Amino acid sequence: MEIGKPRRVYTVEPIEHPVPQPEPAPEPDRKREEEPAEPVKR
Amino acid sequence: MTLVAPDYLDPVLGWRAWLVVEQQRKLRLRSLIFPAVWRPDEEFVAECRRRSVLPWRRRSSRHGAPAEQCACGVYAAADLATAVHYLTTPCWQGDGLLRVLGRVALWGDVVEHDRGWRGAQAYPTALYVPFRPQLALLAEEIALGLTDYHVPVQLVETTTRAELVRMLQEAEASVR
Repeated sequence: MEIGKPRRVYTVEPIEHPVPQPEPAPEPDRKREEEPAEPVKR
Repeated sequence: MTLVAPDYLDPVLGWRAWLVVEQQRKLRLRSLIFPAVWRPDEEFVAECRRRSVLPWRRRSSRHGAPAEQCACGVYAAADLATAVHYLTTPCWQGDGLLRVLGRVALWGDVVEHDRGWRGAQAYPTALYVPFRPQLALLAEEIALGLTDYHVPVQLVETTTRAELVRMLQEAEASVR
């Protein structure tokens, strides 16, 4: 690509990463996990 | 350990053209000059391949890319018209399915040139799929496939370079 002559060199460290970050997976339904097991009927 | 503060905190945004190729039944962006595929959701990291184009000198360079005195790095043009020119230039590595344009973010070490930049790391931030009316179906398929990159993808129906430049400038202005 024709972009002319080099002028200067610098460093870029983006605060926000330019690569789209994948959306976090939905959290498991904790309420359901924490539900106590059905009492065992004897 | 020495810590060096970066000069800038925002990536450089330029224009470039890519070839769209099919790889394992997926559509992928590929650089025009070297057969380097850009993977979705991964930064593209530049390496100096200058020696690898000469068959009798097939070994990698010993410097990181981009080096100021070399021609390596990920290229981006400051001017849209420069990138548009590369939609039709001859390509050494086959023609792929179609060429597309886009905005590209560059970061890491960056060499600033008169009319663009060479960067160490890169990722597209927006993709434009220009097409002539007779290629509408192919362009639609390509635009859909490029959504894998998780950046905006826009179809642009056009017949001339000048019209394409004008339409993309308008599209960019509406985003700002």
